[in-house]
Amino acid sequence: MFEIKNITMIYDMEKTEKIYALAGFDLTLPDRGLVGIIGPSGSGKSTLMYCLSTLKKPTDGQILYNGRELANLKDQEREALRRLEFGFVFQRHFLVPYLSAVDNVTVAAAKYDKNTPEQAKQLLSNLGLGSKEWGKRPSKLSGGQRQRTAIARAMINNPKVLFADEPTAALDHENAFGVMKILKDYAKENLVIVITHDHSILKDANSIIEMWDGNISAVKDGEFI
Amino acid sequence: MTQKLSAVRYIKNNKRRCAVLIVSLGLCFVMTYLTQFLLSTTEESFRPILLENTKKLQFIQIAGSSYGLDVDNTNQEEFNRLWNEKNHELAKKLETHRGIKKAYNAQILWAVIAPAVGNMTYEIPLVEKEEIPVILEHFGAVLSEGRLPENPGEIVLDGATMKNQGFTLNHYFDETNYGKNFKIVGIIDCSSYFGCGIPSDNNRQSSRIIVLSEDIQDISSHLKQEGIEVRENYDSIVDYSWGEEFFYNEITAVLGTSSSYIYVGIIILLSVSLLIVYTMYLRDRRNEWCLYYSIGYSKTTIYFSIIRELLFNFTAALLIGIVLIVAAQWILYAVMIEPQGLKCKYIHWKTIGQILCTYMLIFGILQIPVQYALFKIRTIDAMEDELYS
Repeated sequence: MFEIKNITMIYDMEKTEKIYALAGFDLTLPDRGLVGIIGPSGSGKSTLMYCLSTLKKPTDGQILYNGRELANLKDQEREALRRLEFGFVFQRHFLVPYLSAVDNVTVAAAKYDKNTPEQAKQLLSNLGLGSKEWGKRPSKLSGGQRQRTAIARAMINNPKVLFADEPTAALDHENAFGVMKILKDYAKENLVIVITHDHSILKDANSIIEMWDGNISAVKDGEFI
Repeated sequence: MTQKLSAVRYIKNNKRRCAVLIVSLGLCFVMTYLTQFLLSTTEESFRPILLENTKKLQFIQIAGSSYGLDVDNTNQEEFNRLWNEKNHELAKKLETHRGIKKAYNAQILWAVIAPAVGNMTYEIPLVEKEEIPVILEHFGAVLSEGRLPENPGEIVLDGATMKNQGFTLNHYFDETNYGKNFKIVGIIDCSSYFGCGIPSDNNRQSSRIIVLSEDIQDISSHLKQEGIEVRENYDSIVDYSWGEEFFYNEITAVLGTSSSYIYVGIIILLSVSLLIVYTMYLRDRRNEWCLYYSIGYSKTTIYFSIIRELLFNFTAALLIGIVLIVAAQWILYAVMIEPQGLKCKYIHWKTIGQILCTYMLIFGILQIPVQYALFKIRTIDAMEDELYS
């Protein structure tokens, strides 16, 4: 699905000592499966995710998504890709504070009809949010419930790629494994890219990419790692 | 159906914030309009006195010197006799003019009308008993209460003046200025402020010539035909051309200037306060829009959702404003305008136009913070970069 060639991302381009967030590497990602990207802070894992999801443009190199180079896409095409084919779970969940859990999910729906709220409720329900929580605003939800709402929002368009940046950071162990199980289930049909510090949550990942200083230090593949 | 960002979601979930915008916009609409409405009581109350009465009745006061009388070398009694003679002569001559129905030598009383702003006096002719029905008929006035004047010092007055000045039937007219010389014995119905009566026994000096005419606009031209050149500083003429000039130059223009100042003040106050409040509101929503942009909504889509919200607020403000204005006008009419015998105008197209222009101007001004907010929209990654930089 993704073919990455010599991807480079340099911050502080104008300075003499350039910071390489991505130092130029190649990588291929499959059409489906749970891919974990792991590494310490500043290793470039979030930058890689943002480049893959078109939110950032790499300084150099190519990212091909289904054979199309992302850098050549027009703004509208990039927006359409983000809206229709990609789903996002951000580190800080970025829920809209004045909307209910259901509305926070439906707001991301590419198409809206009378069934959309039902779909959102079904998703929330699958993620373990009971009907009592559907009408609540984010401030009335627990950290875990917010994260699940954010995941439901990411899934509402049934995206081909789901990007999750530290999806379990705010959760306790039990909730974290619950969320990972959902992502693992979703990864049966789609590609799920999870960025994390935490090795333990990636035990069910199909592959793990370890990053260090903007480079890939190791790639581990296997049904269970 | 492709989803657009709904303005309703924000409005429904942020009623208080929207209400602040709607109410402040609506109240400014109400304030602007009601200011004009209250000022209209002055204009509309003075209009019939200056533009209607003067078409039917003209008052002429010619100084002795304008008749050629020697003011300095004639004793007062003789002067008065000669002056009265000249007035009688002139009245007789004027009666022969086309368009002039009657001309009397008569006294006058001054009645006052006091609306919300300013006040105006108008003349009440005092004539012989038998002339009163003639004048009333000429004026289109009918007796609605009491009786017609029959004795010296009795007058009839229109209901609006009675209310405005707090006069009551069978009581004395303007005791402060005229003592107990004039008594109101009847109330008349007519479209303007008007009254007439019989002179008091205490003063039979007729100082004015009163002309009952059919739409004479400029009585000076008739006087000129009789060899009298009206001198501005000596002679006094109350006719339509004087009334028209006074109304448009002294009333409409002055009130227009005052309402313009009020209007500009309201616009400045409203624009500045809305700009501040709205900028704060927009700033609070930055994360929301950055999220929308990150998940694939274009800035254009976000812009149109903001515009739809604004349009809703403006429309709601207009509708609420209209309801409040209708209610306020009804209340003001019931408690202030009608009890004071004043006249008013409900629909002010010019003010409505001004308000709509103001709304468009403010809508335009609010595009500045909107455009700035759009400019500040980043994707989530950029926000996180900002957060940690």
